[in-house]
Amino acid sequence: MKSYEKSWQHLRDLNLTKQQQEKILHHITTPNRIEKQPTKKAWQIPVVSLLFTTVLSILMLTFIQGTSNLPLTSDSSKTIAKVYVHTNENKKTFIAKASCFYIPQQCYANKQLLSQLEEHMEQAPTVSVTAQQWEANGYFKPQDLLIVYSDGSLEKWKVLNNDTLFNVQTKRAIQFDRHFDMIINSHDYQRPYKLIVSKLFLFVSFLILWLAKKRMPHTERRFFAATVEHAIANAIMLVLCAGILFAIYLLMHSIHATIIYSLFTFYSIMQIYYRKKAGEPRGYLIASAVVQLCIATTFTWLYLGFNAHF
Amino acid sequence: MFEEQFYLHNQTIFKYLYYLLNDEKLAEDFTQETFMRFFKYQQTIKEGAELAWLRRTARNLAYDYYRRKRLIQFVPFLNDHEEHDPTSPHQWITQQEDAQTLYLAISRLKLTYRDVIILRKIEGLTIQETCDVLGWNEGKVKNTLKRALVALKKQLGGEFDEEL
Repeated sequence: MKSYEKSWQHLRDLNLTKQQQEKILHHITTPNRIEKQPTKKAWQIPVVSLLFTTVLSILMLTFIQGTSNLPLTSDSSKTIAKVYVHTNENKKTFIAKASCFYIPQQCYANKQLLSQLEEHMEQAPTVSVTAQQWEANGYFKPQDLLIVYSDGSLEKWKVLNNDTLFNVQTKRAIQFDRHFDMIINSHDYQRPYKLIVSKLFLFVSFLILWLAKKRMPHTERRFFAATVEHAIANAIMLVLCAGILFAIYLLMHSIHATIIYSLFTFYSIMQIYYRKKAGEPRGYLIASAVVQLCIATTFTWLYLGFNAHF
Repeated sequence: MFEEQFYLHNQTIFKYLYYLLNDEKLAEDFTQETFMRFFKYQQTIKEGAELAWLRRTARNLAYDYYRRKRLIQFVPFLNDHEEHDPTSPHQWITQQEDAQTLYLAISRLKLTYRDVIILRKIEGLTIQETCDVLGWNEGKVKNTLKRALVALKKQLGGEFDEEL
């Protein structure tokens, strides 16, 4: 063992030479050329941010969608192909749409489940729905039930009190001997697997962030935003997300998955662009991209787990 | 006023940058840049807090440099083909064999270890002063220093009896 005290002291005594000091001071205090200062604009919105906001606004405007114009029929020689359920407390409107890509609504395509529903519908006795039943619906929230038959025809039903189905077009009402959600929700054995897959992707995203941090220990990754511009773009994005949630849950809008995926893709590109512009290392950029992909996959599987039943 | 502050602190800032970057030219440039910024913002800096401000600025410059260059842990010591003034800092280091060995060992440590060793062992800052420069808490400074000294001992092949 040896003591390095003298060596430490030697390192402490390191100094700039007189010439070096004078050179530095000269560079600082004596301007060597007159630089033309660019005129600063009071408020400058970068082109990319402007484009970003414009595209998002267009996407938001597409939320307003027209009603579907598929044929309606009362033909009895057909089977149920698909069923869509959307909670809707407003009894005067019908908001369920004929596509599994509309969010948030339940989409059922499981054959066993659909034949069970068909059987129950055939056996259910016709009842009359009183004004009281129609107004006060009890504990259960009313739902819109859109049935798509094998011939492409549609039937629109309102599910009242979780056991009574009221046909919007024919005004006929039928009553099940069991709860409607028990009939329609009893066959999704795949849900646990879908949830496991979604959690796996969520774990992978955490793992990637942890690895990126481990690989570049000296670099502090800015978690929320890399620059002020990025932070503003993120804030706009948060407001838009809040807008989507507001539209879905309070205004009862159905939003097509394409819009949400486009929005998310755009957001991901924006993340990479701003982080690259801020000079973050390539490792972090790749990690950010993979994390975005994992998050998208997680939410896709979560949605499939809770809303799609094949 | 500025010249007074420059002559008072330029050696400290240069030394810090030199050991952090392991490159004399770069340390000289960044010392200049640090004082240029000081020159620009000196009116906004509190009296008595100049050195702390200079240290933080120098550190930010060095870390930004590493971030840009994507250098992770190791930076080559010096370019051998470059000729050095006999009175230059580089020559000063090479004058004592053990000091050179110690310097090389420090330069091979990862950046956070190097940073805490420079501030505590070379600059002789107190724990609290180190916390202020690095923006860490006391526990983190103590733990990192402990690990840094273990790593340094390893670099020196176990020949190191510094108190851990």
